[in-house]
Amino acid sequence: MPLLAALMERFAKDRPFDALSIAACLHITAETAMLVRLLRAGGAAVSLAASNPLSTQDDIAAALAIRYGIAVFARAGVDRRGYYRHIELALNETPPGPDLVIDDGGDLVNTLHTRAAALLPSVKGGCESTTTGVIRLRRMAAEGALAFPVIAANDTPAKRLVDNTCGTGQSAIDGILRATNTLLAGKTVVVAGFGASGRGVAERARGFGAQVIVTEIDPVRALDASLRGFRVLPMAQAAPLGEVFVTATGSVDVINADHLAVMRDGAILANAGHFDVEIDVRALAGLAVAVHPDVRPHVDAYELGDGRTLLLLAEGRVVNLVAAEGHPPEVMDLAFGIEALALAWLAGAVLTGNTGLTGNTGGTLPAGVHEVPADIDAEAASLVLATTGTSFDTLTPAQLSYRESWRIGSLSCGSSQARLPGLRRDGDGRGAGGQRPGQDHPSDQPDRVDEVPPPGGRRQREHHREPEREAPGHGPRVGRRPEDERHGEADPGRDQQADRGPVARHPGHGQQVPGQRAGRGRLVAGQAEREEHGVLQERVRVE
Amino acid sequence: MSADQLPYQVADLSLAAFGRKEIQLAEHEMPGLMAIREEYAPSQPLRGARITGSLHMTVQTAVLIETLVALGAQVRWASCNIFSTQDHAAAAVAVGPDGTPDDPKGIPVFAWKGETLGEYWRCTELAMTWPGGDGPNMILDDGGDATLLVHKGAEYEKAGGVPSPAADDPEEWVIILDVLRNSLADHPGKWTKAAQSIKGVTEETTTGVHRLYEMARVGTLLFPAINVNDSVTKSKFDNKYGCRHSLIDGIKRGTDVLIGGKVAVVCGYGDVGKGCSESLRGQGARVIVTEIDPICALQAAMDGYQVATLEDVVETADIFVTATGNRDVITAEHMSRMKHQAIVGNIGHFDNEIDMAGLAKWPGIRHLNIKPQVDEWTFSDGHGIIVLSEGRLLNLGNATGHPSFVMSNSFTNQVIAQVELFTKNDEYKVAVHTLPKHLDEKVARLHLDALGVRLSQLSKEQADYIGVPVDGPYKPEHYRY
Repeated sequence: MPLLAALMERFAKDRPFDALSIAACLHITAETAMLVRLLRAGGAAVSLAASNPLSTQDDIAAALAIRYGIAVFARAGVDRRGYYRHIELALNETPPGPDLVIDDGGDLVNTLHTRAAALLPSVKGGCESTTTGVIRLRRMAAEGALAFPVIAANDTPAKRLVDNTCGTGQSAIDGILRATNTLLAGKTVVVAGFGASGRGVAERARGFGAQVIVTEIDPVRALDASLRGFRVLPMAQAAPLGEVFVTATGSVDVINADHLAVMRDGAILANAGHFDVEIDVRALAGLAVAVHPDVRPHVDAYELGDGRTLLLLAEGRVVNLVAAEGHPPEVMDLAFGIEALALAWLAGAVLTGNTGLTGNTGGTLPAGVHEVPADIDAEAASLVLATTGTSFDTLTPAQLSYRESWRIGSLSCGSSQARLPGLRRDGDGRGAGGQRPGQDHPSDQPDRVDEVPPPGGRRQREHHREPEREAPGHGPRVGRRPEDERHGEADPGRDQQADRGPVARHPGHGQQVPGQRAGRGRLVAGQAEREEHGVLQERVRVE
Repeated sequence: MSADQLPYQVADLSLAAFGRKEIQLAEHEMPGLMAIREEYAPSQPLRGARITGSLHMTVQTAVLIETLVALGAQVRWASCNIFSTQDHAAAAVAVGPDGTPDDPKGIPVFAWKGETLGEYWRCTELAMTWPGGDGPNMILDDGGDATLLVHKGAEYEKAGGVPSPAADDPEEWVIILDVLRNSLADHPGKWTKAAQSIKGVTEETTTGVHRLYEMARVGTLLFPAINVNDSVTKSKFDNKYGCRHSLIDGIKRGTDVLIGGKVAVVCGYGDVGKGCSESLRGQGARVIVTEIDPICALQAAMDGYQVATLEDVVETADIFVTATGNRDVITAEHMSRMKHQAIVGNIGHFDNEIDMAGLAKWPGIRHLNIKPQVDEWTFSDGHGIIVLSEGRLLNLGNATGHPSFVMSNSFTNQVIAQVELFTKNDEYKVAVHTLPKHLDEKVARLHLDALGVRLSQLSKEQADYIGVPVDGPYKPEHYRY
């Protein structure tokens, strides 16, 4: 994780979290361990709980506790009470409470504002890394209930692209494949939701050769999916068609009892959203006459009364972390890098009133949801690109000032081609179509349109030359016999034209058109026709 | 002056300068043909060859023609489609690299965009008639029309006359019979003599090759044929990647329609259908494939396309493209059920994939020409459909066909095949042959540098391990790529 490694050096030197305590609620994976070590290098005392009862990698948790001395409260497979108890323990680790918090889904912040409210006064600020969590926080802030500033680390363009689209896109499918070993090519995969995550899943499923159907409630997202070539249907119509379902909406009961009732035998149900509410697992259980847990690891088979079996992955919880390893390290490198930089900036802003490592605030931040400063996003992205050896351009001073000025429009306004240096003139200066450079704007023409120009422009010159050709005696030049000068050659085929029906009326097939020889090939067929129908006349009528 | 003394027949000779410029640009994009010129011109292997070409008269074909000439051949040319000629290319070929419109020094070419069927067959006959009445001794065909004319001409000369057309014969067939009837009257024995002097035909396209295999099967093939289409470097490239490029080019130039978000039906998932489907999907269309062959249908499904019957989707799709090589794939009845302003086009070689005749006869149908090669047909309920190029290949009719680089692949095969048949005629019996794999691989090699491809080399041990020569051929005959 090269970005975090680069930040390790910087944080060890600058110590942005010196003497601060941080309580974090995150999926405990190898990538998270790197973030925790980074925070500690920055001077923080870190306590950690899991943000999902099934996602903890126990060996990582142990290594953090034993090798790195982090206070870790987490175990894979913990029950619901244990899950919340762990969060409270992490919050209580450094009395009177943590200075900063890092959350993933909003359960830690929620606990702080409810059961652990006694600790609230010591919290100066925090960071949230999921769409779901950010949505919850914005609702809290709208009601005035959020007690401290929280940075919405999920909402930066870089994070959404790398984490939600690429990360969830790849790892959700990874989870499905590891759990079921199903062939995706040729299968109908229904992706519920075409936000950043849904789009990632849909594109990658398509890359595997699946036929993807997208469901959406947002017309703009639905239009986006459609323009990218995905079929968009209501879930009610997609339900009987899908063989694999992946939810990525952040909403509830996206797959409900009605949908389950019409699904195909053997359909696979997976959720890629943060909480396990997108698939109505209770309804599924209600329809089942028998449940066979773990027919394969993380696959529960629900046998329905009518003989169909539906396969639920990861109990409807976030499949990429449960049945696979979550996002790849490169993704978390960027996501956590942004978060660490944002948290350091926040620490600087709230604690010292100074800018910290990046960004400018000048003073404490008010309670509420805040965006990651844009330059942090750009800095993180640049650092990642640097580690992959990818170079890119920067704006020149002239381009910068052009971008900032409203006065400059087209830079070439007023110049004509003839003044451009180095333009090679061909013979007498006529280009391919007989046009001289600069001829578009001869200075002797009036500016105001007041008459109908001859139709066709440059092509018309060619057109007008033809009658000269057709004079008798010029036959050999275009390979025509003198007798061809009559309308209609002595061509046996021509007699057939009358039988061709309406299509024969097309001027290119032998009809006499002013200025055109029948059957000679229509360079400007469209032009002549438009003249005939007076369309060109209408188009240039002024007033 | 009689017909066979016409030096050429094109739309407008003054376009030659423009045509020459585009030919020069194309030469840079056609490394295979240019390399063949360099390799073979010194030995003039086609000296003495009288080649009749029946192949779309485009800028790319001009480079092919001038390659044949560089190798010593005498060439006469017609297009193989009434809409596919690029008039500036035809003019440049007639004028030649050293001539001017006032003093043309090129080759006899009889082709222009927008021929009538009668003119088309007359041009084909002119391309097969040398001054003095001689015929060709080689044919370079695309779709088999030149081959057909010789075979039918010889057949009718042997039978003593041309049959009268039947009442339900297609219009084009009636025209062919007329052309042959006239030539039997004016120049008896012409076609038999031509068939005897023709050493062979090299055929470019799937449909033409199919005709050749049929003739070989029933024993009517008169001279050896090389099936250029089934060189891997032709059909797996031209048919697929060429169509991938030029299908949407034709649709866009014809209609300017937004492809993203539309539902497009591609009938046929052969090499051409594969390219077409990818072409449409790449622009964001949702592509549905129709197929009669279960293997191709399964390929389409695994490539992520919905495979349905035309009846399933005819009322809901926005764009229809036929790519089957078969007939009556889209009928008038289908078209009567389509959405308003559905676009219908064909990219197969012949125009019988869409039933244009049936459409023209549909009760109450009205026709409106929008612009060349774009027609609207309105049914009595008021809904109209847009038909491109009157059901003829829309990539050539509404755009400029395949781009030069991919045509360099195909045409290098053609030139190699012409040289093979002409110089080693005794080694080819009267049957349909394909070029040997080492020549196929040679064509591919000639195109690698231009794309910056760095090819790896087998070591001797590796070559022995898989049982191939270090320099190829690398694959068994049955390998399918």
